[in-house]
Amino acid sequence: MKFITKSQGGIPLARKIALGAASMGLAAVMGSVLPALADDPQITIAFVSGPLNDSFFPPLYQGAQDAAALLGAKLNYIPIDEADIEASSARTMQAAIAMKPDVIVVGDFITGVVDPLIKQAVAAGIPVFVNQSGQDQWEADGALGFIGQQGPEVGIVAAERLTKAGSKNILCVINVPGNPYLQAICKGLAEKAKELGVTSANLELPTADSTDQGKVSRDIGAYLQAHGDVDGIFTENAAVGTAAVAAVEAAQVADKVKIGTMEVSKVALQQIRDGKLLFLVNEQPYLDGYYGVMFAYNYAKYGLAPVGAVSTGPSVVDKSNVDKISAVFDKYKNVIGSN
Amino acid sequence: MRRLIHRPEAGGAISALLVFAFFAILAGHNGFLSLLGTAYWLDTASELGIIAIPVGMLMIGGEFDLSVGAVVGATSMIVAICSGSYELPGWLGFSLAVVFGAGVGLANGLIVVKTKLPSFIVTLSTMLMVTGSILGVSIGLTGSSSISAIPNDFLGVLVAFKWHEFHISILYWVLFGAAAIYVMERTSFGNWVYATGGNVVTARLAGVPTDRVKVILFILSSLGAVLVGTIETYAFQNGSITLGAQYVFSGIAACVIGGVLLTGGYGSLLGTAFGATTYGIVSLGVFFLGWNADLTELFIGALLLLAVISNNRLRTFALGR
Amino acid sequence: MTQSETPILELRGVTKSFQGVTAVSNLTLAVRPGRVLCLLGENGAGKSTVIKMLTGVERPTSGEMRIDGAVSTFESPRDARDRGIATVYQEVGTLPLMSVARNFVLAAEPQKGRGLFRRLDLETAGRLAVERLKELGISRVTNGSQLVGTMSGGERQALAIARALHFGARLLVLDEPTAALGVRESATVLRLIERVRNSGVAVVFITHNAYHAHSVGDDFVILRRGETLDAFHRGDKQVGEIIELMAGGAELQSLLSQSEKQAMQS
Ligand SMILES: Nc1ncnc2c1ncn2[C@@H]1O[C@H](COP(=O)(O)OP(=O)(O)OP(=O)(O)O)[C@@H](O)[C@H]1O
Ligand SMILES: [Mg+2]
Repeated sequence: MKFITKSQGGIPLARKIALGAASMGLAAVMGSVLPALADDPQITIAFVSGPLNDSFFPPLYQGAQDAAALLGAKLNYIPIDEADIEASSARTMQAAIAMKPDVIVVGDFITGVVDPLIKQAVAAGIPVFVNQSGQDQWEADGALGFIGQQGPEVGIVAAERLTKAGSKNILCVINVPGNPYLQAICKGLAEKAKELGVTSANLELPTADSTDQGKVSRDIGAYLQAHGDVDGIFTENAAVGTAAVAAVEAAQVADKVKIGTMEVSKVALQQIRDGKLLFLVNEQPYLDGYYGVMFAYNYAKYGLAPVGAVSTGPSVVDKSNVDKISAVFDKYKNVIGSN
Repeated sequence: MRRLIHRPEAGGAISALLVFAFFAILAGHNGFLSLLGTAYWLDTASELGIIAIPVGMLMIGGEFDLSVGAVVGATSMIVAICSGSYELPGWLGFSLAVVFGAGVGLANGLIVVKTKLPSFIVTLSTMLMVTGSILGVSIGLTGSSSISAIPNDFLGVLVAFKWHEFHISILYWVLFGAAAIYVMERTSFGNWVYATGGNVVTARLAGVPTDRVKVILFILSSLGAVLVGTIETYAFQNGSITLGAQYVFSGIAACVIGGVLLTGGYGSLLGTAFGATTYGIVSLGVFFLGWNADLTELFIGALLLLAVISNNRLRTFALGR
Repeated sequence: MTQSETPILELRGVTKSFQGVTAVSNLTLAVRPGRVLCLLGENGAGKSTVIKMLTGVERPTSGEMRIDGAVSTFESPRDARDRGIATVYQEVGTLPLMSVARNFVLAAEPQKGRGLFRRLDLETAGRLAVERLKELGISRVTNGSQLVGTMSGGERQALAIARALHFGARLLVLDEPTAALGVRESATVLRLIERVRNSGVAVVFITHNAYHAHSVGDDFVILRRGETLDAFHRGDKQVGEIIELMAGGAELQSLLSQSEKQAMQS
């Protein structure tokens, strides 16, 4: 369940229902219908992925839309309801199969639920591409390709960057306790850190705090007070990264503690420019959506597909390339990030 | 002494003292007692405390408001969309949020008094509707549910000022808290709130305008959420629809730990302040100890249970039987 | 029996029906200052319906109602209250979790200070409450800050009555004030009723209990299925006769044991 980890997780159940319901309605309206090319029948693509109330997904959706418009494909974006992620993952995939599209692109966040349905779709003769998450299962499920990134890779990159900047004790902050994807990242970080000869520890934030940046900042600050040796922090979403920067500033250890984060945000880009943030890992969700549709289209039309997994991350933004990314961020809405 | 223990705020005061002593002893050397450490838990307590003041009044008046968290998130989005996306002055966004919040409170209040449905279910519905509608508007206007909020006028100073790490929210907590305690203990309106929560029929027969009392309380409850939503949004210059979600539970928890009866009609806002303090200390204390953060919830859950039990006993004691 | 004073409230040949069901028919009664009117009757007799008419909750379907001698009806319960008719409810008369002082002044709180500093005068409220209770013979309550829930049932009724009188009631309606009380508590309430009557206030006392009615009543009306079974005055009848009337004579006689009959005769 990768995407609950994006933006702010831990939304209380009832509110998530509202979020999910609202975004479903919107997405239904947004499913764009475009004219088919001359004589070929229009290719329809069902795209099952996360909801737009999760700030990670607007760029992914934008990428999918842009590719579909360019190619003249019909895109049906079916958002999974995060409030009820298991059941919703099944429902949305069943809906996709029932639509009998030419291809299905699916975010395999809950592998136990989604894998059998991928197999079912394949058995029904619908080609499937796995998108964003599901890097370990897609081949076994009979999917034709994978576009996304490997969790542990992110942690490895983070460990390397922080160690290179001089960190000897790295804190990996998990903002949704018990989330397997976030834990995999911190595990990757821990293993790489060990290899590089530095220590690392995890800090799990309580679910109740995850929506409150101020509280997250104080939580991290309190941990730093009690653990004065920490000199590197890696966070797994933009808001938590900002909170960590604030915590380090409040404790007046900004020159000692280096910080890296996941997910692009306007604030994070500014903080990289200001030197407050060392780097951020860009998962390039726009590319997930864009390539997802493009590969699907090419396969449906010509039977062509890339061989093996296609990695859209981890791409790293730091002082060297921040200006370029920032310029794109400001110029194009929902391409680099959504806030 | 016996009299003192029978005060409704006694339980809250005792639990605040106990958890403070607990963490002072165990985590004092880790910085819990430092200026920064103190600021951490006071900031946390003050934000929750501001929410808990009107929520406590409402609970004493016999009703619940589950929509406060949603109003915090909605406020955050309104303020952020105005100042971040449209570059309007901050005060305008805040004013809009106040109007919106007051509208939600008014709707909650009117629906509850007109339909006589439990406020629990009414505010659960409005909570969902508030979040859903603001999310729809936000995605429609900006394509996103999380937006930068850039302070561009005096409002930035009014809500985001801090001294060291002591946030201005602490000042508001004390000011509004004192004002609310005065209203509850020393004005007719306060008397009516206690009476309305004690027994709405009795209060109405005595001539208390119980419907008006409830509607006002619901509005105040939403306005507290608007203030906290604005403060938290400007603190990190980031508007988010999910901001404040935790207050649905922690707000009620602070009141109950502070001695407010779940059935209404009894309690104190001073106690509620102690409840918020307890929450602030515990929720940061665990980090000073380097303990698993889930222990916060274990702690608060246990305190809550103790509080409910002792509130009922205190009530029986207070009634002398 | 003195009929000199004008009745505060009078019903003449009043009938009240609800969608065809006649709850009270052709009822005539008068409530006078300084007198206790007892309204007796078994379940469904129509007692509550009469109260509703006397307190402005319902209006007679037919017949005449006089207020202070003039033919009139109440616009609303509020109108009745403004004209000095107060109802004291046993169950919902007071708030147990609030202090005596706060209960006493609820919705008409005395204030002190000016402008922004205008605030509750709890000292005055407490003093008033204790004084008024004392006037009704309740001397155990000496502190206005005592919680009402710590008081006995009789004392709580006294507080509700004291409150009504303090805010200008000329006619008190008490619906089953002794119903849930023990012997001692009932005695307290009966003494209260006497004191109130002696201070010149009119009382309508609704009860099932013939003994309670007999001990304090001046005028009696016995209802049965909406009909007036009998109306009489203090001294006209024995308790036993009242009980018989209420239950319908012969039926009861056959149910009562010999000893009970003897007890009633005495
Ligand atoms: N609003 C109403 N609509 C229809 N019928 C009614 C209404 N109010 C009273 N009645 C009927 O009128 C009759 C008298 O009722 P009332 O409540 O006055 O009796 P009561 O003497 O107060 O009885 P109890 O001792 O049980 O309180 C009953 O048969 C009752 O069902
Ligand atoms: Mg009755």
